[in-house]
Amino acid sequence: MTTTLNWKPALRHVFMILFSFLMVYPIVWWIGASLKDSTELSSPGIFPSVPQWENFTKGWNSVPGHTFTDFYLNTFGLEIMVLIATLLSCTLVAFGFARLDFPLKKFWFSILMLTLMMPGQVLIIPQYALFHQLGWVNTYLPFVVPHLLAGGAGGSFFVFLLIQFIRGVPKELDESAKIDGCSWFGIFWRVVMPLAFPAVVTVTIFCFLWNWDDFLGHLLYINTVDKYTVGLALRMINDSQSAAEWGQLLAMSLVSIIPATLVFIFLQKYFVDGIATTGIKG
Amino acid sequence: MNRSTTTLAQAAPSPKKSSYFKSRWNAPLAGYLFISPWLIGFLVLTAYPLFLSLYYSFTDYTLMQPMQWIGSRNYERIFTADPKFIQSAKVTVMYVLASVPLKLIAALLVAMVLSKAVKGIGFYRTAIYFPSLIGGSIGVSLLWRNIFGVDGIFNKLIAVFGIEGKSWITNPDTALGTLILLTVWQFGSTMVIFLAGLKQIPNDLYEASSVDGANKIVQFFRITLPMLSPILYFNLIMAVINAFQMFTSAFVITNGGPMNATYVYAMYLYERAFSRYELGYASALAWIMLVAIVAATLLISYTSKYWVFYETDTGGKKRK
Amino acid sequence: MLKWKRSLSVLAMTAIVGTLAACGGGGNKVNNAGAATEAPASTTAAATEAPSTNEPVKLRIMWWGSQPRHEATLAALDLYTKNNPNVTFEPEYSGMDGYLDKLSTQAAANNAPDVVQLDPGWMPDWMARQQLADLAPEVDVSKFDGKLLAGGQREGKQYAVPLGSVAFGMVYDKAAMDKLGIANPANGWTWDEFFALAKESKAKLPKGQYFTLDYAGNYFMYSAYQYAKGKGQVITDDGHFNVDEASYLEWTKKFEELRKEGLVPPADVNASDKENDPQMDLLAAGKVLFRYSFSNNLGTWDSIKPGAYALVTMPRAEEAGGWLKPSMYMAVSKNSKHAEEAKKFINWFVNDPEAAQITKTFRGLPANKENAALLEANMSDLDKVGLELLRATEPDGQTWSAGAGGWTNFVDKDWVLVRDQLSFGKSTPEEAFKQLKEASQSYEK
Repeated sequence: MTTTLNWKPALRHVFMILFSFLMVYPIVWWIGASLKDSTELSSPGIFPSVPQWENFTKGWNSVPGHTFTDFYLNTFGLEIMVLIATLLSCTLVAFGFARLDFPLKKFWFSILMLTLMMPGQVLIIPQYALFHQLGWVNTYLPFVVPHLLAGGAGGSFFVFLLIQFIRGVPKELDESAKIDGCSWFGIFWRVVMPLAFPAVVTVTIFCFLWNWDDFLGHLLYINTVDKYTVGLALRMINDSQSAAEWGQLLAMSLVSIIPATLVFIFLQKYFVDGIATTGIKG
Repeated sequence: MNRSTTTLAQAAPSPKKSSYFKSRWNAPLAGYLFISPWLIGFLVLTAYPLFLSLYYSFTDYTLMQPMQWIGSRNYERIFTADPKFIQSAKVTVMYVLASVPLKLIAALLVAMVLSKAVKGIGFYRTAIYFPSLIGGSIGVSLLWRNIFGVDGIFNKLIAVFGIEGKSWITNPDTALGTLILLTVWQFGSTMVIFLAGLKQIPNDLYEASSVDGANKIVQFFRITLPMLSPILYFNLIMAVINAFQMFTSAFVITNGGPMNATYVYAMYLYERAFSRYELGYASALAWIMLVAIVAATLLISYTSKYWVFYETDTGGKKRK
Repeated sequence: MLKWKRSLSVLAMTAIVGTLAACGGGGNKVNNAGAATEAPASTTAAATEAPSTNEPVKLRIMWWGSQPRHEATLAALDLYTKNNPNVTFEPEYSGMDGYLDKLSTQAAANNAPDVVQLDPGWMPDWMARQQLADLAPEVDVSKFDGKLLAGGQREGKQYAVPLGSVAFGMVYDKAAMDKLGIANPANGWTWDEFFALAKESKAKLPKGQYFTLDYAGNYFMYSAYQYAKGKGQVITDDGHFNVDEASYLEWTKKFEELRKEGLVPPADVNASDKENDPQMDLLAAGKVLFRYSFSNNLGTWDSIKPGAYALVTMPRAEEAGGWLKPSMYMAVSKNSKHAEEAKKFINWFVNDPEAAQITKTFRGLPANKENAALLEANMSDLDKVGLELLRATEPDGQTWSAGAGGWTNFVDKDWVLVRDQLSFGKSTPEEAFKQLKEASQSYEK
């Protein structure tokens, strides 16, 4: 990772800035559009002549009887439960598949992969019927419980991802830990997890993001507005059959990506300071 | 432990040395304990719907109407008398072949650049991940139309070079291309996984090979690529699976049009399942897709033994 | 790396696309228009039953809409609970995105809400699948127009009541036409006048501006044309393909001409049109002068460019081209455990003047004629323009029909493919007709 030539960093920065701009252009357009009123949206300019800040305040209160504060609290509550459930279950399962040998392991692993590959559309109705019979409709259980069982939005994906990463952790570390008297759980917790930390961060980011965006899942299982998540509330602003409040919609959806962006900004530094780089000694 | 690149060619494991490697299965009970959350979840929540759908695929089952066992008739119809099946399969294969390599290459290149500890790297990383952050949100389809519409920014850009633009998204020749571009543009998740993988490669490997006089390109092929191969394998498989199941953008941005140019397989499946409620036929379509994905994945994993390297208990690297 | 579940998050749009396409349908002469009077159970009759069911009941009710409709509906529910303290509600309201997916899934699991709001286009399928309860005798439909009730009837039973009515006509950019010196159309105009006006405007339209959208392959516009020609529905109520070859060729050839003369946008631009989207709607973007519209949609365009747009009836020929269409229906799920209470509520919701004062025109002009008359006095100006189109369409308008069940996909997919091929010049009118006819085979009953 050493750089030998001096012009290289400079060139890299120029390239990165240009490239970043290309990737960030949408947010610029988006900020502009969220400040426009409906009459200006069709005009080509990026920024409005008079910024409509009230798109944000009105949008925040646009659902009768509730404000977006409620929806954010709901969503954060759901996200925290789902994140904890996912991290607990997926790491354990991945460790089991990656490090332990047991009868039928290959078979179960193929099944795990199969669940990744199955087009989800035909499963929606039977699954709904099941959760309905369990009396879980209009609660957060249809999200939390599957995640606790390494399923839900992204479950098998996370397990597969973690397996691949754990396989990258040298096995002789397990062995020496074993000799030191560590149990399997000790190896999992003290040896493998710290080394697979970048992967755990990755799973955290994806899990947060996908559950934030899981519109259809939320729509199917949450009925009453007092339990609505941000994603559901957003779609309420936009009803295709009536005069749409585009400005408010864009403003609120812009706000809705802030949490995910913050999560990413906060966690991405672990890709630099990842323990893995320093944890392995030759 | 010696992990220099010279061990790459090291052959299969030596006789098992470790005390816990006595039996064929080192820890049957512990193994099942560890995977039990998933196993319970699968058996209780997924297995039933999964097998139900397999059963449906052999029935004539339209929602709210009596189900009738018809054997393999759904499958026969799909393969012999369903032009939409052929059309959507064609579009999907084109999409998979184009989007997967492009996305992987873009993601890997950018991840390599971003893995360096450069000043302001956090900002770049966030900026570049941004398109993936807005992924499924409402904004993205508005945005894509804004870029590739007739009055879009892309046309203004090429107008500088005197090229007259068109409505790229709604032109049958270019519509699928713009969707592929969107997929490639949202390479963030793939990149993040590469990034995490790159971070797992110990620095001393590079240092050792630098001392040996290896240049960057040699290092890439002899250290980075082999060390990253499990992650590359993972990303490749996931990209293929996701590309086969591609739905959102075709649905939201082009709705399969114009002239079915972006009518992907998952859209056809959705149409059967949720517009026509033909759960039997839709399930058959789903299982055909499943078989196709499994075949593609098996092909990849068959080749993987030639290019994917895992850490083993022998201390070095070996062929899987 | 888009995860599947996440992809589904935008299923959203199907609902929209599906509905827009399903709106309008075909029209036919309904022979049982008198059905309206079949079951005129009075409100009081229902009320006398009340004591027997006085135990507390919680009704689940589901509808889609935007903020004003939600507020009004919630207020109405509150009032009902005030009048009937034993009945409380669990409202499930949302936008249109994903609404039908959710409702279908719920229904499949026998968990549909007691009271549901339905799009007219869904009615044939929902009634055929027997997912709705017969509303007689609790719901009094004596004050409703028979033409609007028909869409909620099957085999002589009323399964759903229309909530509002809208008229199918055209919207035009009055401001732009005045500026260009193009004459405004008048209600009752003909298709000949429509095409003549197009020709006349050719010299006046600047580059990049067009007379109307390329409607050659548009299902609803062609339906209107075939009606006007007196050839009836495109798909009959008993599920047969009924495109009149001569009218179809006439229509598509006229648009072929417009295409050659540059009076409709080039194919790729035309395909980029997205109704009501402030950036993609070609009328809103000032690129076309005319497009089809329902009478209650004026508000949307008006919010984009205030005061610029006006409505006019669908052009006619031997017969009228436009029709009145129910905006949406309300029904009781078959599996409801509180069907009696649900029906009583619906009866109140559609017939009670006090309820009408609260729900206003947020679901179109009330289909209950007395309530409609009641509201007309205090209407907004925009509503009045819509009402004018409605009144102009009403007298000899076609009878709207949701058509036969099972053809939705033909309209949404097969028709759309042919539309694109016509517009991109990949097939001739003759080929297009042949293709539609062939595609229709798999839908024939």
